[in-house]
Amino acid sequence: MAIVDTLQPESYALPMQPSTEKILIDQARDGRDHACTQLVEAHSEKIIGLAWRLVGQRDVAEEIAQEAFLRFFQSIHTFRGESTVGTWLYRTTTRLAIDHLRRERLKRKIFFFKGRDPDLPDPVETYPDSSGNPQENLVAAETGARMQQVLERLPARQKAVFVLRHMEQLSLKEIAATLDLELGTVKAHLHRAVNQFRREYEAGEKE
Amino acid sequence: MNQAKHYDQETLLLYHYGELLSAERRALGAHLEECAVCRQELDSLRVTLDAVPQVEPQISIADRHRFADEVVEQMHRRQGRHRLAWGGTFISAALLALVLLRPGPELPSVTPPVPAMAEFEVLEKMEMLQDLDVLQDLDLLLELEQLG
Repeated sequence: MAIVDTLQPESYALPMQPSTEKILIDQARDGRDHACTQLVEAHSEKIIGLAWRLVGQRDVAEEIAQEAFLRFFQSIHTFRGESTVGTWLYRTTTRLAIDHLRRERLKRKIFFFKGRDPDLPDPVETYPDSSGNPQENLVAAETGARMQQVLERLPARQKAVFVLRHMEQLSLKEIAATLDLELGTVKAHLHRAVNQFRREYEAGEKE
Repeated sequence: MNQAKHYDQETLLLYHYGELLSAERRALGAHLEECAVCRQELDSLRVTLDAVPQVEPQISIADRHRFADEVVEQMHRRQGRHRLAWGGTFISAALLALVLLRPGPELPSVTPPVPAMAEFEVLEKMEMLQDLDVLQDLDLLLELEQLG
C-alpha cells in the first residue's frame, strides 16, 4: 500500500537525517539487526507516546507500537520510501490503536455488567497535583478525572481525531490523511468530541 | 459579520485550533473584539479544553533500548515462525507431489473385453423384444389370416 507523506516535519520531528534513515533501511533489508535497532530507537519515543495517548495505558501502548514496528520490518522489502518511516509508523500505530479501542469498546458492551476493576486506582488520586490551593487542586483533579473518563468513553475515531489534534498537534488535513477520512468528517468528529467535553464540564459546574 | 449574529461553536472551535483560512480568521478576530457573546463562548471552550488532562509519556533512553531489543527479538521469532510455516508447506507439497507422481500398481485395463457369440445372440433377442408393438401387430395379422 502506497502511503503519501502528508505529515510535515513540524508535526513529526524527524529523529534522524533522511540519508541516514535510507542507509539504515537498506541495511535492515539485508537483515542487519543493528540497523533495525537504530530505527526502532529513533522512532520509539514518538510512536509509544502516540499509542499511549490514544489508548491511555503504557503496556498496551508498547504492544501496539511493537506491532507497528514489526509490520514495518515485515514489509520493508516493499517499502519504497514514498513516505518517511515516521509517517508510516504514525499512520499504522493510529490505525492499530483505533482497532484496539473498538475491540475494547465491544468487550465493554458485551460484558456491560462488569463494573470498574477494583484494583485500578481512583482517577482523582492519580491526577497530577498542580500544587497550590488544596481546595482548587481537588476541584481541578475531579474535573480532570471526569474529562479523562469522557476521553475514555469517546468512540474510537472521535477519540483518535481529538488526540491527534489536541495532544499531537496535527492539523485537520494531516489527520484526514492519517485516518483516510474526508476533511469534513474529521471536523465533525472533532466537534462532537469537544461537545462531549463541554457537556461534562458544564454538568460538573452545575453540581 | 454583524455583531448581532454570532459565530457557531464549530467555527469557534476551528478558530481555537488555528484551522480557519486567514481571511476567515481575520474576520472572526475582528468580530471577537466587538462581540462579548462570542468571546465568552470562546473562553468557555478554552477553559473546557484546558481541563482535559494531557498525557505526557515518560520514555527514558533505557526504555527505548529495552523496547528496541524486544522488537528485534520478536521480529526474529516471527521470521522463524514464517520459515517454519513455509517449510511445512513446502514439505507437504513435496510429499503430495511424490505420492501423486509415484508409479503405482497396474491399473485394470479400461478396454472392454470382446463379448462371446452367445452374448451377441441374447442381445439381438433383447433388441427384438424391445419392439413389442410390432410383435403385437404380427400376432394380429396372423389371427386375421387364420380367420381367413
